[in-house]
Amino acid sequence: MALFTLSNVQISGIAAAIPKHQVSNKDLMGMSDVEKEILIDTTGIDTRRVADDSTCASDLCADAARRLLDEINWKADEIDVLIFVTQTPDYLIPGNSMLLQETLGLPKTCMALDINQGCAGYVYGLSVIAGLMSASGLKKGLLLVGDAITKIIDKNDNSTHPIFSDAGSATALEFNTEAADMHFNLQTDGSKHEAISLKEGGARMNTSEAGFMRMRGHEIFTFGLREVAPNIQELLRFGKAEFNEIDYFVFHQANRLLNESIRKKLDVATEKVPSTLEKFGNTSCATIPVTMVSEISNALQQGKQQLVLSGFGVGLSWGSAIVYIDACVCPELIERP
Amino acid sequence: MKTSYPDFSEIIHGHFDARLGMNHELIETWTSMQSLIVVSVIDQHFNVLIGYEELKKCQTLADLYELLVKKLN
Repeated sequence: MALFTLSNVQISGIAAAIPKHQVSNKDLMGMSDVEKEILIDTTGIDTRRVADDSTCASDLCADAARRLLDEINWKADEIDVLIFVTQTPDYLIPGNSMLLQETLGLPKTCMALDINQGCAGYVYGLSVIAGLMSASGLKKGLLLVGDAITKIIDKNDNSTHPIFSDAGSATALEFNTEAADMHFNLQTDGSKHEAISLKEGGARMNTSEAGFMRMRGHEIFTFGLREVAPNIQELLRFGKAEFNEIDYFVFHQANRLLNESIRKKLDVATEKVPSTLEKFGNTSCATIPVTMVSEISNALQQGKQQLVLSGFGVGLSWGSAIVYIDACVCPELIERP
Repeated sequence: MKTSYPDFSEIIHGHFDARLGMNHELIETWTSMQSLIVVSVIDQHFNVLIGYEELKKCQTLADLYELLVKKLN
């Protein structure tokens, strides 16, 4: 059971970047005005950010990382470990972490590693980098999480096209023996791997076509209803934390219908569950850091906050974490021209 | 199950958008979004999850009610 505690690692800063180019679901083709209104109301998604042809997840994460390193006053050569979480890497080979080691001017003594994860990617990535730093004593680490997911979306597919959006993020972590513990509850169900998939381009279906990501909406929706709330409830029991002690519950931004159902199951007040669905849609693995930077940055910068982070989706995989953030560096959301 | 079919029907009908002109009784006329709304309402009221294949086998709202009763017993 992947229900565990990590010590001696703190989150010292978070930054996020989105493309400046904005599209609205009000302008969707092939739907009546009423259908579009209902779609926006049910999903909660009005505007989305779409990267141009030359911008990838690596660029958005690089923007976020540069700003964060600058504001937190870290030198690039101090970074011991870089982990990049994405499902839209620049290339199949090599991974984005290697590209960003060079782009950010990190030293050759920095270890760099890629993780293929989607909606649960921020929580999973946080567990891997914090676990590594906790066990090894590595002093400074960068977690880059982002997707240019619109590049693999079929514009004619109404189950994915109106939902997804692009973003990148950077989170700075430090080894600190005084840091509060982080608690994680991570789960997987590979038997439902077809619920969200893109098969072309891998070794089993190596075609020249890029292919599009497909999603079985009903399956993903019932998965979210069934698994997320119990995962969080179990995590809080494990971490001996009370629901009323948590300052914010930052969920993966899937859609309003699902997120609201999860919130009601947990009986958490709306003001404790920040949302960026309306403005930015579903930015895949980047939704959690984007929502933190966009909606609760003042609180994160001002004092100690106890957060529950919860990601859920492709895999299927899902996970939640209890983290404490004490006056971290959190520059305002970056818009990439 | 304590909820009667008329009560169940009223709960579900309360979550249909009249602007779409769907036949509330005939599931095949529902949009995929409407299906998810109904699944969410059933989960919220009865703590029962209706899967895609299960919903596909139901033709009418009465069939869905029967499925719900079966799953609750």
